[in-house]
Amino acid sequence: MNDLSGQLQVHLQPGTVRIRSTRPITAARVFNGKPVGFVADRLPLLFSLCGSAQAAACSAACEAALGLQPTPLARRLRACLVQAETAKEHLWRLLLDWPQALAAALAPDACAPARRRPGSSATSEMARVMRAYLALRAALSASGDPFALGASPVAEPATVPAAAAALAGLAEELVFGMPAAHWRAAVTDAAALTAWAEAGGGPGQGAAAISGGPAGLVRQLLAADLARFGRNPVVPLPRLGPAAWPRLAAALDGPAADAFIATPTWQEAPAETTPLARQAGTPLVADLIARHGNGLLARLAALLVELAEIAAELASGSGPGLTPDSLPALAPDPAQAGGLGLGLAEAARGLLVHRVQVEGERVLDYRILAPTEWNFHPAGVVAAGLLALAPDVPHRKALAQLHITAVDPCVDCVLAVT
Amino acid sequence: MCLAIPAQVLSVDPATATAMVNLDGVRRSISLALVETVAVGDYVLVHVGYALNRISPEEAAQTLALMQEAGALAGPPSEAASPRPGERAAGTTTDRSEESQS
Repeated sequence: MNDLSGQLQVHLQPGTVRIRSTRPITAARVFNGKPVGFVADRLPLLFSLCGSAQAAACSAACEAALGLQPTPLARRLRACLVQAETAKEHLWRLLLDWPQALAAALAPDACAPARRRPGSSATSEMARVMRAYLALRAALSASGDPFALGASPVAEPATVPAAAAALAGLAEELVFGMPAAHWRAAVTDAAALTAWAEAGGGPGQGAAAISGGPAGLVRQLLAADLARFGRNPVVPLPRLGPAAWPRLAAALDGPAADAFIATPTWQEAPAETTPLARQAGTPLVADLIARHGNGLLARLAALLVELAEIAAELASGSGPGLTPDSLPALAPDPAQAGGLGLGLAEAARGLLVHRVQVEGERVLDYRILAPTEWNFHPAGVVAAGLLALAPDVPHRKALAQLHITAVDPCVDCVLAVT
Repeated sequence: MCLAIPAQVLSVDPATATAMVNLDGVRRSISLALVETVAVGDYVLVHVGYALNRISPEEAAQTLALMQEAGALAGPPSEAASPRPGERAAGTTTDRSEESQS
């Protein structure tokens, strides 16, 4: 059962990338035949790593199938839970994963895992983030589960603003070195990002400079000429608005659905769904893509831009999702007739899609399309980015691992290089 | 996908902030660096070697039961080579192996 999480296996050979997956992409089938309420209650427990995004997509799908409507306040609390989860995940990437992968790529002989040793500054910082995140999650659920089907909470719990401000404050302290709203306003192009990076953290070389926080990551990428590394022609998955939902629902229906879920394509081509895909149109990320392509620097900047956006909203005291228009994480009404429901959520790693077919009060068929299947498609953004890695490059495996970390699988990923 | 597996804490080493846990019948050492006040007998969610948060025994039992059921549903990985999108036969786990040529 321990193997149920599955694994990605990436094999890089000169001129060839092979990606094998043992991820349990049809595990949601366990919910077939069960009451809808049971499914909405238990599904987030099973897929707990991005539990709030899973819960958001699940509730939206089940409510669409049943014709239920959560109240605006429930939607707002849900959106806030998803955003908080994304902030926590991005902070994990920025404080733990990126520094380790970049240090290994720059100095593979050094002891990079020290950054992840219990008691190291990075793990202590991430422990503070986890505490703040869990406190905010508890506050948002204090008056009942906002993801309950047709939820109608009466009032926002009084503890939410302080808990939201605390998580935002940590992002500002550990990442931006200034209020997130100021960072968003100031860092809108490549020159401004470089200026922020040079002003932030401490100077240094090699792995030592990584301790300068995310600003140090930017400095190191630029100094090592890695800004373009991993760039490739795979396009971002477009925003799948209501016009695309019937096509999406059809792709997740019938015998061919498992194949689509394993290796999804859009308009017959692989596509990327990541923070970079979401943020590609923002001024900073667009400028970096224009200069360096969709390489490492644009990926890192997309994490920063998205985290700054969320932190600024949390710090404002209002939280995200105050109005229906500001609910990008949720698709409230993708309803289709006949007990069919589609639910979309923007999870930390990309677009999450749930499709449920309901008969009476029981689930007939449950499908989940997760972002990792798009991004680790055999011809997707990971494979295409690794193909550009020349066979004679020093530290080839560490560089390959850095690209994989930058795209961010949600499961164990084993890399072999020959 | 995106699974974090409940594990019961068997022993705690405060000096190294690690714990020995029972993860589906297998003893594993995990880091407690990201969680507070974990005691022997608690259930924690584990991901990439870290305990993420404590969960109640009831939640752990419900989650493990679902995982058991889903695991029973999942068959062994197929060994089909080089499938193309749209050509994969319906299966319960994915096993994809397709070459991307430069």
